[in-house]
Amino acid sequence: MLILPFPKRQSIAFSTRMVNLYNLARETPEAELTFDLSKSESLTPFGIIMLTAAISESLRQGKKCTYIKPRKQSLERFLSEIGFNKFFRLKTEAIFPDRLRSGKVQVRRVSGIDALLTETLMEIIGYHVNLSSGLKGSLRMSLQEMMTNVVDHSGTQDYYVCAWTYPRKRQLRLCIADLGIGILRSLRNSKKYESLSDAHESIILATESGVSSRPEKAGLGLNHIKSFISVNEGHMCIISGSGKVFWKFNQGKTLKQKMILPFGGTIIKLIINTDKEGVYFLSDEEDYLV
Amino acid sequence: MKINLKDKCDKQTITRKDGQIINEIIVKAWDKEDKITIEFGNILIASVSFLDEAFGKLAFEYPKDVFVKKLSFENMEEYDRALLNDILISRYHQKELGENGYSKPKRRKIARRPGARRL
Repeated sequence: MLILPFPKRQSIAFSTRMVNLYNLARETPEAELTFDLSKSESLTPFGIIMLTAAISESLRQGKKCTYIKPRKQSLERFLSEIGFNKFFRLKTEAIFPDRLRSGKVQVRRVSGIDALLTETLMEIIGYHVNLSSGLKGSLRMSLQEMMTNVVDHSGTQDYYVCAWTYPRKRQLRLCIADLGIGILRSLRNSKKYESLSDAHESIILATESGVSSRPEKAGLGLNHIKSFISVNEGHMCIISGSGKVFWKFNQGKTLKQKMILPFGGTIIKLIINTDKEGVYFLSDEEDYLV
Repeated sequence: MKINLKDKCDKQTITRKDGQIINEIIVKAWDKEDKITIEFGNILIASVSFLDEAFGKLAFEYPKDVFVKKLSFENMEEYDRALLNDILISRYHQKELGENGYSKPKRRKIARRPGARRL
């Protein structure tokens, strides 16, 4: 039996460790795994997605999985609230029966484009936070483009998604992860980018306008998401293969980090300021064509 | 000719595949109709993929003046109108560059609400 000790904090700042644990869970020949959350103290949508994906994929491989509950009781309650127990059909009390009041979109595995998911997310977030019409549009656009990117470019239809609001910080955190081929391999499918070899370069390139793995003209979605987060002064982080690029627009910084063990698919995490601007367009109204 | 998005797409207005349905109808009718009106029915689309596939790609086929003369967009949410204009401007800019490569934006991105006038 292999015991996987999850760290105290499971945010994107600890992505290297989280990805290593995820890879270990998937690649180990051990038939029994124990996910040890006893020392865990805090989670983010990124953390819950990595944990859920690690357990879910291990179960799919036929491995027997158990988990050690966090010592911190509030975190145990939180896991229930975010749908972790429900996801694995673990026996739990319904602590937060009103999904609207919680302001959280429970972690879920999605296959293909789910129009209902967008509606659900907008309903839950909209109930909890007073969003401007521009922010609503940009949020809907971001979620739809992230789903479309998985289906169009990742080579898989399946992905994990989770989001929740931080009312005091006036933030919304949204994370989506697929277990597909990753951005570098996807872009290399296009003749134009077949010589690409750097994971960071591929991530940055994928956020430019008109860059796509598809032979036909495409490649606007991720660019629009980046433009929105830029104007919103939020954060955007993309992990794919051995690359991690973190745009901290509120600080004007772009950070690059090499993943010690590459993540096979792509993870996109957004931090959106719910009290800031959501409209980012290039064009002025006097330039409008339609 | 009028194309009603609700009738043609129902709620499927997210993917490029969804947008292709509308694009094909437009391309088919282009030479036969003087004017093609797209009825949005005040639904918020907010999908770059859908709007680009349905309308943005027409920029590679038809000049600006022809596009503007032929197509009209009714009952469109302000956000979608701004998004569509953004897509069209990007695509016409790419067309000017004569390639399907990525293009740098002409202007710095600015925070502005659709409908708000610049001072």
